[in-house]
Amino acid sequence: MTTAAVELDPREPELIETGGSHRARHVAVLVGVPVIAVVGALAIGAVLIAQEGENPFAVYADVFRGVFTENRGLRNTATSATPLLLMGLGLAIAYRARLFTIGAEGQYVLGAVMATAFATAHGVRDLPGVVLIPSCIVIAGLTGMVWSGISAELSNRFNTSVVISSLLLTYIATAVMQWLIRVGIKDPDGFVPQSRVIGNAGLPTVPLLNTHLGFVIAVALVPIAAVMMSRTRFGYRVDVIGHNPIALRANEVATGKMLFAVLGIVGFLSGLAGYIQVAGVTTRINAQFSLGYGFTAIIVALLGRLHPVGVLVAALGISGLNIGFDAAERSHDVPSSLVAVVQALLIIFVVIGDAVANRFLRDDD
Amino acid sequence: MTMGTETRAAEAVRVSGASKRFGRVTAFADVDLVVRRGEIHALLGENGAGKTTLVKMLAGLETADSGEFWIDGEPIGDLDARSARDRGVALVQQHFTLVPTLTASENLVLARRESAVLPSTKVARARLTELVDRFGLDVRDGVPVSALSVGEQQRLEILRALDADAGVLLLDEPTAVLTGAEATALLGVCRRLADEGRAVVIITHRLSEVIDGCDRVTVLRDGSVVLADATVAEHSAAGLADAMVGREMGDARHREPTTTADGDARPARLRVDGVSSGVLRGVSFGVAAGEVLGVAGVDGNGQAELEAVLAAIVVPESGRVTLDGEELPHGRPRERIGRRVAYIPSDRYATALVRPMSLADNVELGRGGWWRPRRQVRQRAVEDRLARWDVRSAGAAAAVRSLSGGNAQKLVLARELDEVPDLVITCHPTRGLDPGAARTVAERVLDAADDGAAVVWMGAELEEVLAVSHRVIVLSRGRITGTFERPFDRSAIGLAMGGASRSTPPATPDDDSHGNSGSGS
Amino acid sequence: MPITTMNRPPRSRPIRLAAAGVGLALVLAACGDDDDEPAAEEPATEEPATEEPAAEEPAAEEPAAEEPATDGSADAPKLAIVYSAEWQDGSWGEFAYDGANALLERGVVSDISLQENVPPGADAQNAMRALADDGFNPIIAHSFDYGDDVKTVAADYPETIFVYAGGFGDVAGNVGDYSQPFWEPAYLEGILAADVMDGAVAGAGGFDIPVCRAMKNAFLAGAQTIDPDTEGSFVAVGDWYDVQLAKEAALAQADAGATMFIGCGQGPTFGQIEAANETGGVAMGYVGDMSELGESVLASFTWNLEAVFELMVEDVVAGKTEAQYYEVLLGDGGMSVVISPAWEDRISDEGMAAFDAALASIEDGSFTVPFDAES
Repeated sequence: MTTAAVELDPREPELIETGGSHRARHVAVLVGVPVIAVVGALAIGAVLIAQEGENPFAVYADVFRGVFTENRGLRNTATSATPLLLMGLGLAIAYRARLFTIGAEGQYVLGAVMATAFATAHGVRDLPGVVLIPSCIVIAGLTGMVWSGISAELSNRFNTSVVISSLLLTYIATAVMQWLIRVGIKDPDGFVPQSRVIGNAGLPTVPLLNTHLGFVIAVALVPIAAVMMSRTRFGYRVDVIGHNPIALRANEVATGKMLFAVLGIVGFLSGLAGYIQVAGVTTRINAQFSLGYGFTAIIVALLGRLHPVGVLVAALGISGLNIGFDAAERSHDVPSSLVAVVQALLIIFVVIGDAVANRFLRDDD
Repeated sequence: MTMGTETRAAEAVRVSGASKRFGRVTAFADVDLVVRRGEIHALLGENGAGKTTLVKMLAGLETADSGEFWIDGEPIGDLDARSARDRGVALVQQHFTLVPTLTASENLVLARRESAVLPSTKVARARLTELVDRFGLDVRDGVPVSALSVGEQQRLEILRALDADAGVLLLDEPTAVLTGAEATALLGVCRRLADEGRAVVIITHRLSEVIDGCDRVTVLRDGSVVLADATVAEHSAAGLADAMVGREMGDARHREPTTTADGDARPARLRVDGVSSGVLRGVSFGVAAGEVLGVAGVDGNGQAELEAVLAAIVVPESGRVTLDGEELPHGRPRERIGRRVAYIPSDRYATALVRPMSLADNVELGRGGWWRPRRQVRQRAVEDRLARWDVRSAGAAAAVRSLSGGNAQKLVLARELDEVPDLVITCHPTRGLDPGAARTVAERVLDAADDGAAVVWMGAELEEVLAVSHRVIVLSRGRITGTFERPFDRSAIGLAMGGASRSTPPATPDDDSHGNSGSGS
Repeated sequence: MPITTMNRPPRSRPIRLAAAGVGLALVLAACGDDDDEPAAEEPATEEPATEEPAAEEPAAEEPAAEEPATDGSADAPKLAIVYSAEWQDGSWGEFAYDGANALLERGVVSDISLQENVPPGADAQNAMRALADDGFNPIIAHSFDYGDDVKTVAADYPETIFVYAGGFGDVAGNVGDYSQPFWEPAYLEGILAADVMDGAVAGAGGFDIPVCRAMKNAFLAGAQTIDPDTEGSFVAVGDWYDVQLAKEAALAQADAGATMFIGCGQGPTFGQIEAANETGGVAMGYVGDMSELGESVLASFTWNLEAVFELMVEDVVAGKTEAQYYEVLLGDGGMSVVISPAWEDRISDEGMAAFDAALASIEDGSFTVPFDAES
């Protein structure tokens, strides 16, 4: 290149797509910041554990043991990572498009409810799994899609904020679920409000992995999402709309359509996650079905740096922390809120780390 | 605020041997600059020559890699924003730093806080009024800054600088966003400020402003000083332009149409029939192959709407737009591009480019299939084209935001014009570019016309429109109030822009083809 | 459990807010005095200890895992409890926590594992499997909501006794249930309530389940021993945790003349206490001394889970793999009624005498409070 005539604008360095030596540095930041954040969060966690009168190393050893050596540690980690991974993938795509939906939880709940309603309906519940499982996947996905699509439609038509509409729709979805398990899909034999058992629509266990099929589906979606983002026009448009929606509208496609497409994907994956959770884990829906996985998935998407592979790592990491701390809690007197503190610290450190890294990227060369 | 007595010819700023690099890119190297009180000093250079970085450095917003600095004869070791401000150096940046939702006086007091508590609205207003009266820079108060015109916002920026007792005023392209009259007025203000003993540095591209309004000039090219601290009176505009661009400036942008010799019988490729959209009301015209149609008019009279309709972004409320007899695919940008309609907007960063994404990705905007090749393949594929279109950058993987304005616009051309278009829609494509880059851009667009494209050239700069166009239509309040052929009658065009309807020349040449151009598929 | 807490309805904030005062007081107390009350040590197993052995047992005695394991009882069973909320709730959770710790101190068990904040479902199953793998037996799932999970897991661990808080004799194989005979203290409370109040009885439960009905009916029966004309009503709030909803239901009952409230479940109880505070009625605390929660709290009852758990441990020690319905009635020290200090002076001598007489007859077995789950 010619040496001159390039007036850099150093004002807004970002973590996406730059060239040359920059690239290596960006990768370093993308990976390095979370790693440092994990170390930092665990260090502060250790201080808090010591405060409780426990030996932090012993507790962390049990956290590790809980995940890696305890009988079902890895299996449980994979299982509880599944909904986080599915929803995290969708949210990562949406956030790259700067569509900050926080409604995955609602789509998750409704997807689960509709699939369960279908699979436990009279006459349907006796169908074989090969019929029920694909149908439930489609029903749950479409339900999530429609629910998420409401946000897109509201935004296109009335210019309402996706953040707010998606959150409010989550409350409605949860309320609908609470109502349906009391009225519509209630198990007539139960004392408390809950649906029937999903029965034949339950997911089989994968032999070698010993996890339910949903985990395999979720992991299989990671490379698909990665290729979609980096190698297809859709992924390209997601990046363009994230940075400059006007340029997208002038050169590629109407932004409203992209809004539907992106939020539709989030909805589909969230709805699917809901069904998979019922079919692989809870077997039925009760009042405690909504545990906030859809909100944790937001953190997973962000910690995963909005990249499908990162989301996989983050989902397994967050899930592993939970499983590990649960195990540690069984043998040590540490409060159950500790893992929440560690995870919150993790997020704070990543945010700070990014800010600091941006500052360095800006100054040095 | 006593600037004072006879400090004339006293050195306000001296820079010696300053260098600055951003990574592998040199912003400028070994630059000397002297600015004296009582003078207006022009800093001239192409985009990317290093001017902006230089003044930012003087204001302490950038740190030089090497070099020595004196302010008011006093050597300065570390020049940071605070010490610059304390010494009375104030920079008015090209991109305003006002808070758009606050009023002028609120912006004023926010910038220079005397205590932790903001003064009352009344005090703030009084302070603004005092400044306005003293410097004769009129700024409306009481409305959000976003409601002010660009000129007003800039005057407010300058007032803020003066409010801080600026003895050295650095203005980064202050006239780029102003109308001719506003620019003249601004230069008058600068003169007055200089007469009061201040040193004023103006970055500009407009040679006429340098000749008419400045005392001394320093020209930067490719990060080096090519003309140091020269007296303006000793140079001609052409000489300065040569120094700036480093080559002879051609003239003659307008070319005779080459594709068809027979001027009057040319059929229209583009036909606009009774199009209404927003303020645009029933506009009809045609553009032939190889023809450049200029669209003149004061902003807000329908150009923006026409631009959006012709670029097929917006579906017109009524009327139709056909290219070679087929209707433009409004609202389907990919199809518009497939029809080989090139669109070069004035605000390239808003509409044509995605700044954080790479050059290669930007070349791909609106083009390419559902599957994309690997990143490296994509980047290699465009390198050739970038070289052909002289887009100077750190490579196809670099982000567009690292490009200078001229190179960014050349990137747009490399995308839109690489394949010979059938129709070019462009709106002031040279905006904000230095003369060298502007000429390149204009010529490339005219090349497309030579190759048979119909070109619609809209623009705020009447001079430029008249220079490139074969024919000009004038929009006023959404209607065509005049159609003009070469040689252009400027006073008539001016009248038409003011709304006085009537065309001077005979009937438009494309009226012949009017009847049979409708159904073409 | 981590971040997932942020949207978990089952343990909604009102409870924590309402319990905050009690909770804080308990935590302070627990941290404050480290010395064990000797009373906790001495009582023999089956002795009817009316003064709560473990109620205020210092939670500060935390590192339970280590010391007792070395003091000779290492071959004693290891007991585990999972709970859906937090231990320090001044109620349901805290009595379980204290009961387990008391057993550990006495060497009845060699180790305990107490896991809080375990949502029913996958998490609960994971936890119970891990505990069973680690040799814990019995494993106590301290919530009605764990029913399905317990049955699922228990099938894979036939040698381990699993027990959950079903409260209706839901026993099958190695899955046991433990009784919550709260209608007994409710009967005694009814006597006190009718002594200080005129009006009707209002019962409320999270859902219309037999235990809740029985509490209200026993309370009414107790009240009718003082005033035979007393009438009663019952509402199922529809939620175990929604205090606001419960309060609205209680206010509706107050409008219909109710002055004496007996709640089944924390949410319904907290709602009743608030409603009684506003309408001038009296309310009863539910599992735990709730006298601090409002001037309307006339009496509460505490729950001796140490005794209940010990029955389970005995089965394990005896090598049984068949669980049972574990029930410790009031007469055996399973519960005790605590009269709020503010009300002690306002209860008439006759009322107090009737109370004492009824208590004595229950304790000596001459009178059994009927379990009446009919409307």
